[in-house]
Amino acid sequence: MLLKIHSILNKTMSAKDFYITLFISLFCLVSDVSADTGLPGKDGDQNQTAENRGYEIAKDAKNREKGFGSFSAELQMVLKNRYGEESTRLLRNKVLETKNDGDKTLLIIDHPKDIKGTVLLTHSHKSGQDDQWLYLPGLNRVKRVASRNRSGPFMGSEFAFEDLISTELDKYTYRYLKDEEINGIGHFVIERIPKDNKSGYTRQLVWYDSEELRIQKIDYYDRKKSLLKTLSYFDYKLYMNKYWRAHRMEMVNHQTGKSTVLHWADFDFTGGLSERDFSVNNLKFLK
Amino acid sequence: MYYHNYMHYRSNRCCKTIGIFALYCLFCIIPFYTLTAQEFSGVISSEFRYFPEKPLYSRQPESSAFSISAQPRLLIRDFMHSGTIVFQPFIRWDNQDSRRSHFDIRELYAHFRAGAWDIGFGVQNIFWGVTESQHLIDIVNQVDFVENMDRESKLGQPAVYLSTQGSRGMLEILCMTGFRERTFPGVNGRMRGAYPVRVQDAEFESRAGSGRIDYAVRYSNTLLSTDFGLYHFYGTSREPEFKVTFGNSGDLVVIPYYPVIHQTGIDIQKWYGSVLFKLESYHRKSVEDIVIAFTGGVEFPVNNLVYSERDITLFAEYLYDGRGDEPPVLFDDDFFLGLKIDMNDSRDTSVQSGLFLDRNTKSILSSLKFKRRIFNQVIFNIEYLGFIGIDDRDLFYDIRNDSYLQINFSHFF
Repeated sequence: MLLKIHSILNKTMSAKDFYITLFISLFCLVSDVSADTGLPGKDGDQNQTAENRGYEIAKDAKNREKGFGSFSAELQMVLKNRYGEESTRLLRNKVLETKNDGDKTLLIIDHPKDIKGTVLLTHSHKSGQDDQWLYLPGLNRVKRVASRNRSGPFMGSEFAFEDLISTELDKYTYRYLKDEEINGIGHFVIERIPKDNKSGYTRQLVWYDSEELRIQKIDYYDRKKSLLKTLSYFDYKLYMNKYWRAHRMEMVNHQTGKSTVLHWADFDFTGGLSERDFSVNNLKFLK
Repeated sequence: MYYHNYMHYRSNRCCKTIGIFALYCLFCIIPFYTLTAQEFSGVISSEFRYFPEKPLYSRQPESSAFSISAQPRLLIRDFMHSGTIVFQPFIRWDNQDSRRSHFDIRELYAHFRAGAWDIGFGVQNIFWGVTESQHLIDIVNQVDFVENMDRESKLGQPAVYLSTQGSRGMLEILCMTGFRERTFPGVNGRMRGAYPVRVQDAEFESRAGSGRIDYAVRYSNTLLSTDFGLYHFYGTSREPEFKVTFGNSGDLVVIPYYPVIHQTGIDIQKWYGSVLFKLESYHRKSVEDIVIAFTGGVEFPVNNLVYSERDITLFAEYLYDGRGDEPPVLFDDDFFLGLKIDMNDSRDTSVQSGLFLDRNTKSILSSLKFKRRIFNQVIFNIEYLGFIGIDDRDLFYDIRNDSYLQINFSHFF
């Protein structure tokens, strides 16, 4: 058998090349097998690079979020300045998964009252620029936004727009850093660097809990590479037996002393939202 | 004489029709009231205008004017399952100009989904356009000119509006069942010509007057990083021409005349990264005339070059109107430069400034606006509008002394 293969291959490559190819193929097969068993990296495959491992963890975490179809939720944003003064924003968030592309997202502003009815619609794309529109209720005008300043504060909060809208996996490069135990729970610490050079961040450190790969904490580093903000996730609850959603997120800006807390409520995965609800034409009729 | 009265009667009837329709809608809602969710909101605003220069004509206010406006809104959701009803009236009271005190129903319509179509039935506001310096092709709603000369304020338009959007683009069909006449300042108002426009004597080319039904169809789509839209409108022009005749007592009288037009309008928006290139243009044909006009330019975010937490955007546009000087029109050959800064702070502070320069007359119209939320639900606005070096060939010549400083406090609820 081996002789027959050998003679066929002799026509296309030398024996040395054949055995090298065979060895590499067997090696890859072994690596693949270890990656398929449960959580990546648990068997500690030394040969997987830190970049690959980081990517795999992020990818697995993202995959666990997928398949929900659509959901809507209410969002309360409480801004606090360094003197303890608070102001509140109320929003509704709706998200639709699409088959071959990124998510479609609606952010509808309910409070403050002077901008109530303003809607931000985003069609994320796996590659290339996202499409975004802003509906201005005063003029009844739908305006295309080509230049969302993604790193600017969203509604004056400590959340930049790029922090709020979940981005596609391939918009970062990843690197696994270490395992860390916090309060008796194991975490993976992954570094991710935005590929978009217009991002406000040079790098981010993400803590995933090793049990469910839920994000527990993110450290944001600014353009000067100093630690700018930390986002902490709390009160995870399981929906539809599959999807974890945090009910509280707290962003603290270490440089200014300001913070913003997001309170999520009324998650609804059964709304059966469709493409039509996320179309540009529908912006006029969303109330 | 009889013809004038007939036209006046027809426009009165249009208002009565709207009123009766409004009452009918409210009456229909009552039995369904308990099955619906409703939301009541709105804004009350006080406005103070200061005119630093002396008025040009008699009976105009010397230096200031004060007014209050209210625009409540009632929204009823889940009306007959998927329907929505919106009612949004508007009222202003001005202490100087009785013509500026006015009432309008901005919106009173019911919205339903029927298959792939969205249907709006009633008084609505439909906006078409992409440019910032002016909204050249925005034809559906009439300009509430007495509100603000920037022409951004619009009167409600009764219509049946059908729209659908799919993979092949968006189609909009309008059947406008009543015409709204443009509002103008009265004899006690600033921002008017030597002879105030006699709106009560408006004339129409159409024998049906303001009862004429107008039509419009628009198709729009996005291809290769370009949004484009094309519409055709057939009906009474929203932009009046002005007839100057002698009145009963022998003095000059200015009457608005509304011709019937066929207008084709196009809007194009192309983006490269975060820079937007825009163009609006129309071709307007009436019995007497063919007019071509366009407005085009660029929206450039300075954040492209310089990292900032604030949103800083530059606008540069060119405005052209084929009518040129005879008769003089607004913006026949003008440049526009604009700057907008959003501070992205918790008070949503923003600054906006714009400059129009007429290439021929060298007249300048400048505006500067500042806005910020001062209490939880109160917005403070301060605005300066200035006419600089206005040439006597310019349409602004009659209002060259009407530069103003305006302060607003608006309470939202």
